[in-house]
Amino acid sequence: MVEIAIRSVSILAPTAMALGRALIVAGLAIALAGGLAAWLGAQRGRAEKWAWVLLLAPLFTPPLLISYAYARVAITAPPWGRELLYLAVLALKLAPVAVLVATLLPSPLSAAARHLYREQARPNTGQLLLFHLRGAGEGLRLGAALVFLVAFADFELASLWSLRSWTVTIFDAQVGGLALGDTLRLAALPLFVEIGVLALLARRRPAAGKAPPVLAPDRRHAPWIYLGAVSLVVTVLPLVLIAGQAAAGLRSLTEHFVLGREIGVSMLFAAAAAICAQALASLAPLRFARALAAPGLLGALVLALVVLALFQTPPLRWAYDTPLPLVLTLTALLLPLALLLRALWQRRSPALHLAMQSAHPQLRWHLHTRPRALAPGLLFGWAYFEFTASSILAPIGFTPVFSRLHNLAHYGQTAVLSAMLLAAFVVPILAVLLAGGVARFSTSRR
Amino acid sequence: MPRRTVIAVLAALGLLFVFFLIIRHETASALVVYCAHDSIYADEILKEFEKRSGIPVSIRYDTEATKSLGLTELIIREKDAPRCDVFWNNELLGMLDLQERRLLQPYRGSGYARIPASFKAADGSWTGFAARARVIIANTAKIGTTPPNLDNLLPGSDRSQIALAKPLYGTTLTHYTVLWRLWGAERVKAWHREWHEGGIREVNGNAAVKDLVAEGACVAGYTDTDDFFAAKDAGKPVAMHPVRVDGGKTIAIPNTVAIIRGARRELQAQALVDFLLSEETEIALARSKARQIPLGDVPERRLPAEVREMRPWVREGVDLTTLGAARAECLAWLKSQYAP
Repeated sequence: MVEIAIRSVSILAPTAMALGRALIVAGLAIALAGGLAAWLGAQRGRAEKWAWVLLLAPLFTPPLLISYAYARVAITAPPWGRELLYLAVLALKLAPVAVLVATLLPSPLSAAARHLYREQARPNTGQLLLFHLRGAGEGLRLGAALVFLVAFADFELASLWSLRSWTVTIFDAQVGGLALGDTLRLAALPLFVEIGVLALLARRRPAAGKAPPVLAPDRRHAPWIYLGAVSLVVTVLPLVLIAGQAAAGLRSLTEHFVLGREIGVSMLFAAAAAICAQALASLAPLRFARALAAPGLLGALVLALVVLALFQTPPLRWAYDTPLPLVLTLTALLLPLALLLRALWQRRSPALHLAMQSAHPQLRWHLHTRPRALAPGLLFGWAYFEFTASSILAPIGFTPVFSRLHNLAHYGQTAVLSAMLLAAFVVPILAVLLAGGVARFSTSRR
Repeated sequence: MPRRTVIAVLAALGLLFVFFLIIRHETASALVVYCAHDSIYADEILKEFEKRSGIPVSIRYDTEATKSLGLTELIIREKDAPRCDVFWNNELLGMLDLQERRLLQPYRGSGYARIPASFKAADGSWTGFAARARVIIANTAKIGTTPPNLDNLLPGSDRSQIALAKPLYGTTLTHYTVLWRLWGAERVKAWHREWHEGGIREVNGNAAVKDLVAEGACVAGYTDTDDFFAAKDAGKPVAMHPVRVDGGKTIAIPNTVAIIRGARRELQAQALVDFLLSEETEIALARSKARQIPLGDVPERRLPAEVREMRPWVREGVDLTTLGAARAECLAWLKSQYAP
């Protein structure tokens, strides 16, 4: 029998590596977030919509899509090249979280104050950066902390690209026969780091529901170039590469569509979790927001292992082989995003106030209903693309689509597999768009 | 509480309840199979079983690629309330672990009889079928087709162009365990250290080894026959050579199947075990893209040429059935090595 002693597995080095990466990623996110948030706030109309789409697209691109598309690059790169690729993808994917928070909690420094400082103090780049950081307010710090936590707890990309991280070590220890209790004890050090950051977050009291500052239109091109380039690298290029390979496999896939059940299962799990998270985020008093968000910020792997252990105890064993453990876990993972979105939608603006007073359905749809209808759609997408918890907790016979695709990706890139991946990516997006259309129709009839 | 929120919560709970009922209904009547073999191949076999027997099957898959929670580990954890009826493992050592823990229900049916004694438990706890072999995969564009010796393929102590999967699980663990038994612990430790100091490319699984060699990032590596054929079918410049350990023996790793003690559907489980151990299943797996090597008697003419060529490797294989203790020692040491 294999009994692994906990003392034989060290977590120090992989934790240090994940910590270093998370700090770099959070630092990059800070550097980007303030400027981008101010620029986003100054966009209007169609430009604003496209800016948000470009900003959020990388965040919602599933890691499997990215790793599958860049598999050859990752394989042939030397270890340092793979490390750089991983860092770049993590930073580009997660920076939008910091931007989102910075949009909610904009810097108290006005554009005029920044301009004056530049003109009068003539600072060098370092001084300017320090000035921005000191004056950035809670938004950047909260955003950086969130990005840090998500980057630190990443498992999927690190595992797919064979990189060292505490999450991969913990998973290896589990698979290698370390008892679950010992595995969780092994995770004490990284959990200590995560809980420390969470505790720092809990001490902060950012104001919620603040009206966004009214900014003059910003016509700079650099942010468009940045957002376009990031979306191109993280979302569009992988999609184009896969679509190119998928063309040859689409016919075979449509003749024998084998993923229907898995896509359906993933959509059901995602829908249930999105509704629960949305409801909890809407109902929970603001003072409980941090407590609700905390479990989800520990990362999918640790959370799934804890939930698995809980549902294997006698009092909860009756629900072990049911959707409950997975839906609960997905809900917990969605709550940080759900709470962020709630805070975003709760911001008051004069235009929204006027729209709510007016009887014009189009105006109400654009300024009130559409943003709120978008939240469940984003939560649904986040849950649908989740892989780690789904593969650990899904009940027997109900394999989520990305667990299945990971299995199939074992044999490298093929036309049919690329077609499957494309279908798994496109179907939920169509479903969300359809739901959005129905919501709009029902609003316009009211 | 706003009316819409109440409706949303009720809708979510309703959805969950319906979902719960569907799953309960499905799993209550279906034979539960934990399958470590790749779904791309196992699916067809299990669907065929469903079609012929009329017994519905619910499958939980596991692969080294995703490293989803190890099925062997899951069965151990579920021992007080087993969910799994039949375990189709893609290797042997995990099954030996389960046998030692007395978690397997012996069964000697029609399929058991046709498998050679060296690939099955004497008491019928588990039975092997359709093997893979450990091979060296070589990039022919880089090093030609001559069987390489990986210990002196590159100058000096350099191993940076050689790939190996992390030996903590799967067939690479079996490979290490065989060496542990044949060479002894100290020699394996020295060999492992030397290769790592030489900069070996260690990756997540055998498929990644195959990719590294097929793409030319490495010149050679250790993998399994099914991964080699994936590269060959993709038109990559690769060749394979069986791994031969001391005395020229090969490492042939069979699939194994067992009924879990406490299985709720024992008769259906027995029917599936017999089906998996049948000549027909072994031929189907030999004809699949994985080209697995039959262990029982099958007409040679029904096998692809590549599989016919590999059949002697099975007869020349190291006896894996006595490796349980070596695996435990080797794995414990490996764990300590992945904690620098």
